[in-house]
Amino acid sequence: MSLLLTEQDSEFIELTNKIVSCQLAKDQSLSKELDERAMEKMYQDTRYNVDFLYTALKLDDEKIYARYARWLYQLLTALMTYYTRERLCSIMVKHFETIRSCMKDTIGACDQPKLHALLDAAIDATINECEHSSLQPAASEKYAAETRRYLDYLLNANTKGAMALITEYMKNGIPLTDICADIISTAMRQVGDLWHQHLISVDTEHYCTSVTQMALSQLYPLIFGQERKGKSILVACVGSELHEIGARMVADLFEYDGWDSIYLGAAVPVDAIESAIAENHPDLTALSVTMPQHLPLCKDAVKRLRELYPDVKIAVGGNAFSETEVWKNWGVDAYIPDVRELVRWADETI
Amino acid sequence: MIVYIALCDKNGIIDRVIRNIPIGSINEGQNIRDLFEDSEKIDSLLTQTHSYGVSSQLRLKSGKNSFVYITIMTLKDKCLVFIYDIESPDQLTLLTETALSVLNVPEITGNESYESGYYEIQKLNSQLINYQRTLAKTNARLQGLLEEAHAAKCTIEELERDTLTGLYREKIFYDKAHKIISKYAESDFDIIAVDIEQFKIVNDTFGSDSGDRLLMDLAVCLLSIQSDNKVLITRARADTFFALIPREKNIYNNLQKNLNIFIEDYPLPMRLQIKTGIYEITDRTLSVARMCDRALLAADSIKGIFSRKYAFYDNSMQEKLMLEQKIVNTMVESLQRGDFLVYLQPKVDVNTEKIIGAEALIRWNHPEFGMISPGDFIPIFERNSFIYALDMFVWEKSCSILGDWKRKGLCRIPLSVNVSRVDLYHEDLPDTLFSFIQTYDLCPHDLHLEITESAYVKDSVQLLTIIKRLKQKGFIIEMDDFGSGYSSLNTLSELPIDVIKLDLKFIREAENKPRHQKVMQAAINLAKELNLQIIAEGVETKAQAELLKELDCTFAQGYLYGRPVPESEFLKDLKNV
Repeated sequence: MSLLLTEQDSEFIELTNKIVSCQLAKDQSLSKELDERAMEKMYQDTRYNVDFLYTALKLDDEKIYARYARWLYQLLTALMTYYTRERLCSIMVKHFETIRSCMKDTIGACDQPKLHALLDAAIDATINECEHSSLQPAASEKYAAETRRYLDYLLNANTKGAMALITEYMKNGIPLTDICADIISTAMRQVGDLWHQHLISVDTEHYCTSVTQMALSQLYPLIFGQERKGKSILVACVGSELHEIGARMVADLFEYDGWDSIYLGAAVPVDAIESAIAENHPDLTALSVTMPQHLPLCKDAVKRLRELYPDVKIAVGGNAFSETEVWKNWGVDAYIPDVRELVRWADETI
Repeated sequence: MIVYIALCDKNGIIDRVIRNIPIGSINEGQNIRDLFEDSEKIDSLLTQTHSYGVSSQLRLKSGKNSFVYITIMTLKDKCLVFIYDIESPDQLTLLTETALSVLNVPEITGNESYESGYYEIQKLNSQLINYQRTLAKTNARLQGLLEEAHAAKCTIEELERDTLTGLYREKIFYDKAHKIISKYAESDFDIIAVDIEQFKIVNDTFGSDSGDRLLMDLAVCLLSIQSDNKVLITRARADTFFALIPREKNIYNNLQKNLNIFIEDYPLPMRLQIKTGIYEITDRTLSVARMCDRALLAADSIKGIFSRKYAFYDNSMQEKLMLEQKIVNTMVESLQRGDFLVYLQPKVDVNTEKIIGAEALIRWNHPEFGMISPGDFIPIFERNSFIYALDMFVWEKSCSILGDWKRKGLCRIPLSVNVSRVDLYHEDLPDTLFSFIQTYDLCPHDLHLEITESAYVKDSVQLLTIIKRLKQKGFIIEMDDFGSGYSSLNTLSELPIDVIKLDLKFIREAENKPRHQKVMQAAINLAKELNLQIIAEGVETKAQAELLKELDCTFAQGYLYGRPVPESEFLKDLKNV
């Protein structure tokens, strides 16, 4: 069976249906406990879980799937408050086992060990998460108070306040790089966590993103007003990746360091990245991935760019790379989580 | 502040949370009724239809056991639920803004469902930010370019300026002046040239720092004429300034006034002379450089004339210049070809009218212009140093004449020749002259050297040394043009001279003016006292001759006694006498 199944693929839909009906058959109480709406969500989640499993198979990385399982468990405990943690854990473990039994016939022999390894990792992670929640309290980092204040403005829908706060921080002498890499990054991660824990709705998350983009855009005159170094970076979010604040921040902080950036934005097809490199000859190409599902595409992109432009330096980054080292055998020049470190590395190396 | 806005069904199951300023984790799928203590009250609010909304105050189950306001409005089969509270009145605006924001939710306004458009909106929003980013980047780049252009402009301006005075450089002045003249075709303009006379002396005597300072100060003084942006000023050469000015009444009076004040107060122990030449632009087809030449020509025309500070250009100046150029072009050739002739003019004893000597004078029979007056070409030759070659010609010719006379035994009178001030700068002058004497087997006192009075005054020690050496060699030294300059009578005794030639102005002025006669008498007496011979020049009438006799001036020269003539004619006259 092909690893390139898509959500629209009929085989894929069939597989999803099979998993859902198997699970419902095994756990009779589910049908009683879940209303129509929750059933619909369960179906969607299953599709998503299988999709992600294929991603992990392709990347051959257990950590990603384990992390995903942990993340899903946290999400569901926040969402399905009518279940105990233990009950949810048992549902999820059963779910992974159901996936195993439904998929072992459809998947090639050589992928079998991988499949089992991934599902084992996911089950372990779920049980582990149930016993010891890995949810971190708000990071007590360098700018904890500033980050908290900014987040409060966002959650109170105080657009003007949030925007003014960023300029206030600048006036108070907080380095622009810290505002981006510490305060904004942390705040946005926490917004994601809040959504994840179902404490805010998806449109609140969207609102926070929009306001943050506007707030950061106030810094543009400063960001672009630096003396040029004559080096350039191309930044793009690979595939259908829509999360672009991080990528834009990378481009911005390189600009602030005196580089010229060619920022292609969200969801850039590999073809477009190729032609942009041909046109602009950047010294460095940075590819951003936030959602792990897009990692395989990123891997392909790196491979293609390497073949076409052996000399171009490639860096990858984004949330998808945390807790995984898949990038290590992709032949990239750098994966550096902290953007400030990345800029320093680029300055020294290129 | 609490603002919670959600869509739910009649049973209270939340369909969609629109705003949640924090009330706790109550989300899609949960029941809004769970929030409140009084379930009956909330039930009644939910089940009834309230097209225009209904409000109440309910106690919250969780948290601080506090009351909140609730407003419910029925939308088709759903309810829009507002739960809100504020701590202070200034939160009212935010509350209202948040409430109004539900108008953006398609499900409430009846537009397409939010879910489907969500990613589109997000994309659009990001796209807008990216446009803004691109604009900001472009702006910064433009700003950079602007700064570069500005810096380049500054550099250009700096390059356009003379580093000493800050005025435009010559070439830039020409370009800019040309543009202004072309642009304002209806306006009249003048070009002026301002020149410091003897500027080299300032540098030589007081050092180039003083010279530079003088130029800077003069530049500042000239800037006083800069009334508008049509006025341009340049320092073209060392001490020559040019300016383009729109023609105006009184502008030259004002300029002159300023320059006079400048000269009067200038802290240098030297009398500065600044000459201004003005070319009123009539021919706009001329290049600005040519216009400047004309203005400078006008300024040069009054050089050395103390009383004149400025002069307007006229075409005769140009003609004169052309003539000068022709003279320069042809002088060497002419000398080789023998176009220069030596004429002799007798010097006589006024009482006996006997010829006691003669002055050798140069004449130029130019193949194109015919006879040219020495007054026209001598100053030019003095400027370009050709005078030395010409004078040597005269000296040798005179010596040859004397030698000829001596051999033939024709006569034994001395000849006097002119020695230009410029000649005195030639260190080898005494030897050169002496070699002529030897060549023609003459005695040094056969040759009288006429050296103009101004040579004794103007250039100090060096020239006097040369004159002394000439006198030591045995040449007779005649001070020419005595009275025309500023020689001081009390230094006369110290000068190395044998003869004084009274300037022709002397006799002309003395003729009818008793006071002048007295001065002349005094000069004659003084010369005699000092054992100096005295010869009056420019005697043209019998009356003047009589006056000389009266004043006891023994010797004279002038048309009355004979014009300058070729040697053959002179000899004839000599025989006749």
